[in-house]
Amino acid sequence: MALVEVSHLVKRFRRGGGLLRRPSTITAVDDVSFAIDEGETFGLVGESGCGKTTTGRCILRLVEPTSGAVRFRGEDVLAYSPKRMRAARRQMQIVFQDPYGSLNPRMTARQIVEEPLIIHRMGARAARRERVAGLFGLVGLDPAHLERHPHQFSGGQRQRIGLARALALNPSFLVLDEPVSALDVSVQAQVVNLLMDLQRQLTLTYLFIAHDLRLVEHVCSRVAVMYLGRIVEVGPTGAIFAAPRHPYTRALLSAVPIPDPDARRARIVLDPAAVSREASLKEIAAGHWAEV
Amino acid sequence: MTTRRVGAALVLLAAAAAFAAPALAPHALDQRFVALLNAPPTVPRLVDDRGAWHLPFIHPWRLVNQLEQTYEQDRSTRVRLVWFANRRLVSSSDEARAPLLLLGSDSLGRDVFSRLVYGARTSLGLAAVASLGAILLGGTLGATAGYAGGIVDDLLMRASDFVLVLPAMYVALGLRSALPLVLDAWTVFAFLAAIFAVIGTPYVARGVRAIVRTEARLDYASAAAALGAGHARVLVRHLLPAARGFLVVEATTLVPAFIVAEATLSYVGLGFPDGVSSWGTMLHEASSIRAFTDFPWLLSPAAAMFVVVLGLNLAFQHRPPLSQA
Repeated sequence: MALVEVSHLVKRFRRGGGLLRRPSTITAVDDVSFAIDEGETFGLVGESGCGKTTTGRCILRLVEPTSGAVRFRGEDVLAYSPKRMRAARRQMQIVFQDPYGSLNPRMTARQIVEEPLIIHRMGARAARRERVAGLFGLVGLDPAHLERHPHQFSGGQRQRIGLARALALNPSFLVLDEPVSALDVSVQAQVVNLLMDLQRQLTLTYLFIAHDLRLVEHVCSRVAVMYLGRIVEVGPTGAIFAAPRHPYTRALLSAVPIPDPDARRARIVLDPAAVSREASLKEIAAGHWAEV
Repeated sequence: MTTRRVGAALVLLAAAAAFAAPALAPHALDQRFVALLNAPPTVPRLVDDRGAWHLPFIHPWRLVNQLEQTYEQDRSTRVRLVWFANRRLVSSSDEARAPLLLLGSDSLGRDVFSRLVYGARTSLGLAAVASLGAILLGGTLGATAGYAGGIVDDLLMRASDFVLVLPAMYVALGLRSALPLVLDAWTVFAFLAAIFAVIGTPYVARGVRAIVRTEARLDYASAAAALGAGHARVLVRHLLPAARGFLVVEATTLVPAFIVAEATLSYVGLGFPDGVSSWGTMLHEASSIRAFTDFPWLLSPAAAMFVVVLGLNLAFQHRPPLSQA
């Protein structure tokens, strides 16, 4: 059974509007459905503004979806009472893209990582401190630096603090919202390897949101490609990278830089007219669906 | 750095004087020296006319012209100062004939210095209480508006704009004049503090709202929500601390404004009743042309206000940008 199941998720934002002007609505997520199996890393790719981040936040109800359903272990998360939702948050956590904005600059690393334990009243003070030091070690940070503030850490270290905070409650599912895209390339690899190690160690399930396709190819078992709020293609990573079917996926894959100055590859430019908004996902191979 | 220390020292000095008023003031608030109306300050001396040194002493005043209220020093008489007598720091050894009037006496023959230090309690206390009220009220409303957004934000901010566009002094005047003219001191204190707090609130609320609104969009606020923190926790633990620096600065601009406002209201007779000493009432009583020409010591509350306001400004000027920590 799927751990997380998203069906027909829609999120519309109202924009503008005043005394005389009617607000316009923007559909950020438009009828998105997918399922993530326990223990897998499910990639969600697409360009900026395509709705990947909003989808991730809807699953955690950081943004309330307009309609649709999110099921976690078969239970409808959107129907949870606030109290039930609070308890459910121990199971699902998020790591943010921006290592600067995602940590409160006025708190020490210890306070940041300890906060989830305080919120959920887990353990006495001494037990909490021990757990925080353990988490610090788990994500590869030196527990001697616990009393430092976020600005005293590098971007990669900050991202590790964010990860320690997310892991504090022993979740089974993590939304990784572009967890390494703000980091130096050399640091990206370290953090990605850490994420993969932790997944094995703690049997975690990841929703990996990214726009770096090479990273997705390396990390994810299945990938969904989002374009203008819709999933246009979804399937096993190998199948999608080997034989992309949707015009947007093809254009996206052709845009991946090749680290060889002599290599020449025709870049496919997407013709928006070629994308039909009416098309629906069809299974073109086992587990490989595309809007064609 | 030095100027900040000087400023802080001035403010602390004034606060200490207010706190220690009963020990510092040589006389009771309402003690009158009817033979010494508008008498000049008795300056403590160490050297007499013949150049001989003594323990600190004063010369008594002798009335020269009853009508003009002019005095001359009786330099032949030395009155010794006594320390720590009657639980007062310093007073004259011959209170009846030669009281210690460090800043002279007023038109009723009361000791200006004693009234000044007691008045500091009223004036500084009122300013401090009113600022605290404005900070609490403005902080709460601003944080609520900034965090809730939408219609709550609109309502609160338009209400605060309304208070903001009203000329503050007229609001205070209008509200005060709606009450009975004669009220007891504590009622006046509470009432003035409430008016000042309301007038100061929009300034605080606007700033806090802007800060909370900006911070609430950052991912760390989302992170706290994702961890299961309730609205109260997100607001109090994460967002409001971002406004701390602003609140400190705001308090230091409100305190001097309120000191002056109390003085203004008391000056026009809508402040504290007679019998209560505040810097404003003292200036009110000194409001005659003769205070400027012949009895300048009556204006000492204005000097005291100047010192406190200067001190506050010096102490908090050139604050370096608030560090991340």
